[in-house]
Amino acid sequence: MYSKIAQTIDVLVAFRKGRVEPMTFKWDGHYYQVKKVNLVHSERRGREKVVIFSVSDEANAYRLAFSTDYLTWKLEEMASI
Amino acid sequence: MSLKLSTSLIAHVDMNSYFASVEQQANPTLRGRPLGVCAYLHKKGCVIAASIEAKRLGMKVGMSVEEAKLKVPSAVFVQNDPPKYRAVTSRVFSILHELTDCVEHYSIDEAFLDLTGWYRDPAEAAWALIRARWRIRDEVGDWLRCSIGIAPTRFLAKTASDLEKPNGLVVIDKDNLDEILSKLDLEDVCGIGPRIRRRLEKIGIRTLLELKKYPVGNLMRAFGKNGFYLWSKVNGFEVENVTPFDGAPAPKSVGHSYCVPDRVNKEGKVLATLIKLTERAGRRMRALDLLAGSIYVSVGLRQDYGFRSQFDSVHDAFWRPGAGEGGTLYTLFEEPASDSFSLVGAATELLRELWHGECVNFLAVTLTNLAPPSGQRRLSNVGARHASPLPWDRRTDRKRLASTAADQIRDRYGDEAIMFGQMLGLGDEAPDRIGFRKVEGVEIQ
Repeated sequence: MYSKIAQTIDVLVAFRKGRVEPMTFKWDGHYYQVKKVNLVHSERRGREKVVIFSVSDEANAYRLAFSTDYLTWKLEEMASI
Repeated sequence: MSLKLSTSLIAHVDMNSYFASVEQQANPTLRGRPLGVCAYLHKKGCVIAASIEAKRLGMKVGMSVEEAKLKVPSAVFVQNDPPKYRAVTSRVFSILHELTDCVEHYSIDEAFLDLTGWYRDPAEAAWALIRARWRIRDEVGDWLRCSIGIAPTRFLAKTASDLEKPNGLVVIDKDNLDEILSKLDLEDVCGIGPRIRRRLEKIGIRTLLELKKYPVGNLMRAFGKNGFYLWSKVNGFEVENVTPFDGAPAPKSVGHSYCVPDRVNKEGKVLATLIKLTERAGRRMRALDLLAGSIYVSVGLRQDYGFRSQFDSVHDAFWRPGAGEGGTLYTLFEEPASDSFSLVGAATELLRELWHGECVNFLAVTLTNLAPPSGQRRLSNVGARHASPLPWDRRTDRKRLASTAADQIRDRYGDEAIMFGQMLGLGDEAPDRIGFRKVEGVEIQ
């Protein structure tokens, strides 16, 4: 169901209604338009706080991770319909 | 305890098919499909949550993945993700904390709210809880559903929330109490299982209404004080108050267990797995600033292997059901301990007695007799001070300080940043697990 990806990605985000929402991300040379942010939660990995955005487009669901220590984005997992 | 009909206003909020709903919330491709959330994605792994769709098709919590696949061939299975559930619970409970100052975190997906004095009547409370449910849907996730029960007591509030699932809201008051109890079976309420039911039936009680009207003195003769509690609960008398989450009592035990896969046996990592479980339990206990008086180790052996062990006077033993399945041993610490070295040392000794190279399928470590540090030493250890190459205080202090330093490193760089040498190469075995009654790690914003 889920495939592990764990690759650094470029993300365009919007700050609106008091929240951060990923809008588009670039992975492996392709752009993906986020249709919906389904769930946002955070995890502690040691002292590092990672905010996980579970997002989806029309075809797939993605797990994007933002490291608040290193200010980097990763595509951690992808699930296809 | 005064015996009068409770005038409190208690609510119970129960998230429906919680782990499965959170997974469906995160991944819309799982919505509307039968889904099982498993402890491990192995055929022997246990289904710890089933989605509403899967429950309708007959999947039950506690089934193995193999059984669940046979029952619901179209089902999808995912491994549980504890940080995700804790984070969602934190956000849901934070919303509930805005309704009252007294919220009991009963489990990872259930909370009791004492709304007495905050709302005039059940109708006003119901309206506030419906608004909270809307907020959960809007702010946390639109796929999350919860059942709400409102009643004068904790027991009746929980009974009410169980009546309509998913997304129900039921109010029990003195006017409809008999009507609701008449529709329920004895085992439909919390606290009555098959054994209590058999005992109740022996004295002629076959329904909850009969229990309600039974003379309390006779019930106490048969069940002791539990008879009084049972009778009070169905009569709407409050016998247990809502405990605010910051006033919850310290745990009586801390433990971790793991269903050991075959690869751990093949790769010779049984001891390493036990050490990891002990370290995990010890770290949680140290975070609570407690010391353990004793440690239990349980080992489950594959049934096709025999079980051999020798017990001496220091250790006591009792058997898990079925000879040849494994066993449990415990040892008492001379002094209550919390440092990694004492805990891992004791666990390793117990494993050595329980296991002689057979194929293991289950390991568990439990730290019990927990108590805060008293600062007092046993007289025997004061005497031992002169016989030892290092003063007793310094030996224990060094172990304690080393464990504290290791915990600080783990806090900063992650759980696997520092470990015992035997744990090297263990990888993802014995990962973080979540229990329904465990609310550690749930933070209120």
